[in-house]
Amino acid sequence: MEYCLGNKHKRDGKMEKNRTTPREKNMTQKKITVKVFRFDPSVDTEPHYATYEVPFSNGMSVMNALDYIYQNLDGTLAYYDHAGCSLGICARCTGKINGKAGLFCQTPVEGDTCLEPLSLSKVVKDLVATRRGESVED
Amino acid sequence: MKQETIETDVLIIGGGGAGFRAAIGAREKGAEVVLLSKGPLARCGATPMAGADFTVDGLSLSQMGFDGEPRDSKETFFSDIVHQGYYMNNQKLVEQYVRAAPDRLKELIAWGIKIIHSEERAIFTSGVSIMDALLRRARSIGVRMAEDVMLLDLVTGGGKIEGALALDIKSGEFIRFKTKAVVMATGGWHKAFWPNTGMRDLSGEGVVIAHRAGADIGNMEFITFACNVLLSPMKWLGSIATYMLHTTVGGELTNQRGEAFLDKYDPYVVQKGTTMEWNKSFISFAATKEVREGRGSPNGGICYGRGRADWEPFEFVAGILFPNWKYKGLDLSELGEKLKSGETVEVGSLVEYFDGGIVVNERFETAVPGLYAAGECALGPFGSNRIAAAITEMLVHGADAGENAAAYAAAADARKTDAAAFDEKEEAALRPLVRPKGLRPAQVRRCIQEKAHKHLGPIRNGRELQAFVDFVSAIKRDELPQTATSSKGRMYNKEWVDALELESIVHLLEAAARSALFRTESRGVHYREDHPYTDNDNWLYESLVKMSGDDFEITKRPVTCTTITPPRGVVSYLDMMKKMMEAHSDVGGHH
Ligand SMILES: Cc1cc2nc3c(=O)[nH]c(=O)nc-3n(C[C@H](O)[C@H](O)[C@H](O)COP(=O)(O)OP(=O)(O)OC[C@H]3O[C@@H](n4cnc5c(N)ncnc54)[C@H](O)[C@@H]3O)c2cc1C
Ligand code: FES
Repeated sequence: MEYCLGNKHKRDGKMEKNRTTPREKNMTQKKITVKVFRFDPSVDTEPHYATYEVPFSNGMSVMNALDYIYQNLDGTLAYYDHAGCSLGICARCTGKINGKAGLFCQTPVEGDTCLEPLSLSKVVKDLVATRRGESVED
Repeated sequence: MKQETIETDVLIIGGGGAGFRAAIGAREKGAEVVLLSKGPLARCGATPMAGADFTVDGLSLSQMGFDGEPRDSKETFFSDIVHQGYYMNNQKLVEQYVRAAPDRLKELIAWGIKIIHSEERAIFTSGVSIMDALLRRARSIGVRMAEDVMLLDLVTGGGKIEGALALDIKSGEFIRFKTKAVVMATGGWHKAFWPNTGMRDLSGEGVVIAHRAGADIGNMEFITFACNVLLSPMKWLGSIATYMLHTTVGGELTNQRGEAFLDKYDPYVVQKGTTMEWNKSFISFAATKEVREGRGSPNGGICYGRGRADWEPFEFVAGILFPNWKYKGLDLSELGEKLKSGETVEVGSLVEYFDGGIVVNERFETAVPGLYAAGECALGPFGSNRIAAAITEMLVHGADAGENAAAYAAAADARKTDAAAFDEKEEAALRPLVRPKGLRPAQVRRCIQEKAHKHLGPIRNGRELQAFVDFVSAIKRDELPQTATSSKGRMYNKEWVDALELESIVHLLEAAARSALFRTESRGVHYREDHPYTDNDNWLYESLVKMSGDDFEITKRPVTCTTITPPRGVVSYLDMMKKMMEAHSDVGGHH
């Protein structure tokens, strides 16, 4: 029987090689370093940065890089991904990219990249920020 | 941990067009209403992604002062929808759609939507404009709403709706609701496929939760794929910009060998199938055939270019759609340059709309007293193929479902609280979080999504479907019980949400694949290579999926007909498509 993660051996390992799509094959050529702001107020006393190596492909967005990190390297990373449009409509993926404010989903990755939230005081976790409407609106 | 319990008359699940319109409908009838949106208010689900067209019969449109075709009528529009749906439509729901559409458009105009232009049977606005208008209206009449809150389960007592359990995704806390009625408006389940058209919140929990609570689901095999969707570059993956360009400006579609593959088909079918909204079923079928037969592009699509069209007129029309090559948040100038220089871009057929869903009657009641369903999550009016607007659908459903739910709540007995039922559901939801080690949910998901795209696309066959069902069943049995989050904190724990969503994705894929296997014919957006004909002698039935214990039973029921009696006979797939195109009135336009 066929399984997703090769149930028998690689329990929490990486995606198997033969499952990569052409899109990911193109990505194996060049690697870039992505430095990400990390802060979990429930356990951390202060923020820190984590650094990841991500395969680069032309036309990839910052969001594509975050998806790669989350799906393949580090499942503890938080960025606004449980909803959101990936296509520049909802603006919930806003953050700082190499110090400049922008949408993660529509900002192209051009080389080594540093990702931070817009404002430190609003961090829920890592790159996810609060907004109004946190509880039922009256 | 703080334990919140919120009481309301009507709880709306979903913050797209159907959910907001249902909330307004229920609130206007005097009910206390709470709306839960899994993502950002008025900026999640499929609605803000839509172009968007709103279809209404041409006569009503012309009476409202638009460019509607006065020779059109509600009866003609009804007949066209039923033929476009290959007679698989619930005709009672088609009647409701045609009847209610003008009123829904009038109120949207009063609430301030922007209309870009109009034609024979439609006006064109944008999904964002509709959401903004609905949000303003809902706020102004006192609908309470919460964003980034996900429904986890319904609580029933004596078979009736009594409450609901939800998760506040950011804080990681549970929220308990006591409610008399629930309107499910959770949209489609695009996230079961990869690639898809973008929205990250649509994993179908609403359909699954309703199913488990006792509602039937049906016609799950009918899944519409939008054609000519951008596959590359990655940052534009899933954008329908090229779909819109091809529909309005034209251009050329070629396979990897550079062949204009549509030339192989009947010119009449190609003409209707490229210039009307028939393109979703016809081009997606033809393009998928190229890919399956080894003539696809590297990322599993085809190529779109300007062809022989001159640049100036092309750019002129493109400029109306995408001023300065900007579309929503996308800067498409790179696309413009490519098309100008005669290059092509890779486009493909990606999941767009679910024709099946929760079974409702024309009052939008499900089999569970107090539970209603509206919009894309419901088994709606379009049968096996949708040409008319889903935007109209979500609003005509939403308004009636909301009003009926409010009337039900007003007459219902007080709810009893059963804390134990909530405790049990919380414990179940916590499992992936407390399990010390296991499979990473996002990795399991990605692998399922890619297979779903391949085997449950516009072209299917029995052998592949059976293998896919076996695969999904094995995941359900052996991998779902093993998913675990890497971190155990509750605040914005994405892996936790992913693990919960995965259960829905697996449930729905199994239901859809088994329904597709069950339907041994081809009709509308469901084509079976091993049964390449439409069988009106044996298959004028909707498929139904019933829960039996933890398993499904796939059955069927006759199509609901009021006015049009379907003909008998067996016709090959493309001939049937042509017949249905020919049966269309001469109203004109895209629908
Ligand atoms: C890219 C794209 C373009 C389209 N363009 C058009 C068009 O031009 N014309 C047209 O007629 N149709 C179009 N459609 C189809 C149409 O947009 C949809 O059918 C319609 O918007 C569905 O509305 P809805 O309210 O039923 O669902 P949605 O708008 O999808 O809303 C569903 C809501 O439910 C929420 N939700 C889901 N699960 C949960 C949960 N567990 N708890 C709480 N909330 C939950 C979601 O977050 C979301 O808010 C398009 C679809 C796509 C994908
Ligand atoms: S995810 Fe919606 S704008 Fe980026």
